[in-house]
Amino acid sequence: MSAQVVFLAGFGLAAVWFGIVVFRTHSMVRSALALLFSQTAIGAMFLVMQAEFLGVLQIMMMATEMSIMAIFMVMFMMDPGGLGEMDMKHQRKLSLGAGIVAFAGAVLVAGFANWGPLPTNIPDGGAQLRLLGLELLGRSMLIFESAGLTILTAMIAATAVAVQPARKPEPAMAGTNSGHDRGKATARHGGHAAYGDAPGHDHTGHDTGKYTCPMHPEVVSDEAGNCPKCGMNLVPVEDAERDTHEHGHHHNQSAETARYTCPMHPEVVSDEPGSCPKCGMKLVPVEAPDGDAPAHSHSHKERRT
Amino acid sequence: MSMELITALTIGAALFGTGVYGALSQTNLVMIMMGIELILAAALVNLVAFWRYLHPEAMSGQMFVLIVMTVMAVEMAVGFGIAIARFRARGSVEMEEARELKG
Repeated sequence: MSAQVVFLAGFGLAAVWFGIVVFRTHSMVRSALALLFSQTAIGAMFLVMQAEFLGVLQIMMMATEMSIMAIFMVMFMMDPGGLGEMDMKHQRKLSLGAGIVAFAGAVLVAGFANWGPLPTNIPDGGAQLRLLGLELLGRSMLIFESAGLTILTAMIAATAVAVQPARKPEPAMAGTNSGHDRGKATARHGGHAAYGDAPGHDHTGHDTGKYTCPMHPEVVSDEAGNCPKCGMNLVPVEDAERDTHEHGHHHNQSAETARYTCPMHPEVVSDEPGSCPKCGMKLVPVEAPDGDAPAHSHSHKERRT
Repeated sequence: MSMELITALTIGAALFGTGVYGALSQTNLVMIMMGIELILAAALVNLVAFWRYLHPEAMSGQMFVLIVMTVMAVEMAVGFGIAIARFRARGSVEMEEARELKG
């Protein structure tokens, strides 16, 4: 057993271990760091395999990528640093099975294929770079250039997807559009449009069936769909319920039916599972619907007065 | 039969399996992207191992590695673009809530 095998196995096991840690930790920043360590160990494997340029490139590229990833994690959800028991998994058995089958299949192919003898004449680092340069600017030039074009396309596509869409003029949304179009427009424009529209809805459509969000009673829509603020399914409004909503006592409703809350924002209560509108964490069930958690005292106080 | 190649390929297979598990089991878009990164990293390990232990004189192997690294970067960029769009529209990147995308 050569030293190369030992180092390959060592760095490889480190890479696999950190890869597993990525999905076991409860903090997303820790996940990003674990992935960084995993990719760095893979870069070290490249160095062991005498692909020096690729190894250094891998380590540098992944350090940048994972730092960006960590920044996005902090942006997209408030990270409790592993203290909150975040549950971010679904279809566990299926995924575990698929992972094991993928691993076993790849190992079977690797083990049973006839790979032939090991080559002995490996070009050293400088010679490799020279050969790679000749390859890049010779036979593979078209592929190399198309990679650059691909990156340009991806940059344009990512920017086009991510920039905020232009606001439509308000009158078009309030009156003339069909309900469907208006629903889409509010969803795209976030909460502000919904705030502005809500009173108008109340005046015009008293006779028709209306829908509202269990968590954001000011959101009222003419047809079923999702709340533009939190993405929850809108529920139909009864007449009595609508009256209370108009008088602004909506907290009673949500407190009585609440069964799910955010581990970090106890004031967020919802009667169906989903994610917290503040931090995006998955809502956890509350044991007692009228529970004695101090976090709910706000709503309860309001109900008693 | 070379022990080195088998070792590298087994590590690649383990990384691939971990990545498949992660991409399927996570509900957060960013975590799913981490799984895909692991899958692509497994492909990288295999490519370098094939280059080193089968055809060290052919540089198209290293060329292929560069292309896969490009794909990793592109995947990150587009993934984060989609994540920002989702976050702007819905305030979260939980993929359980993306069922309305179903046709």
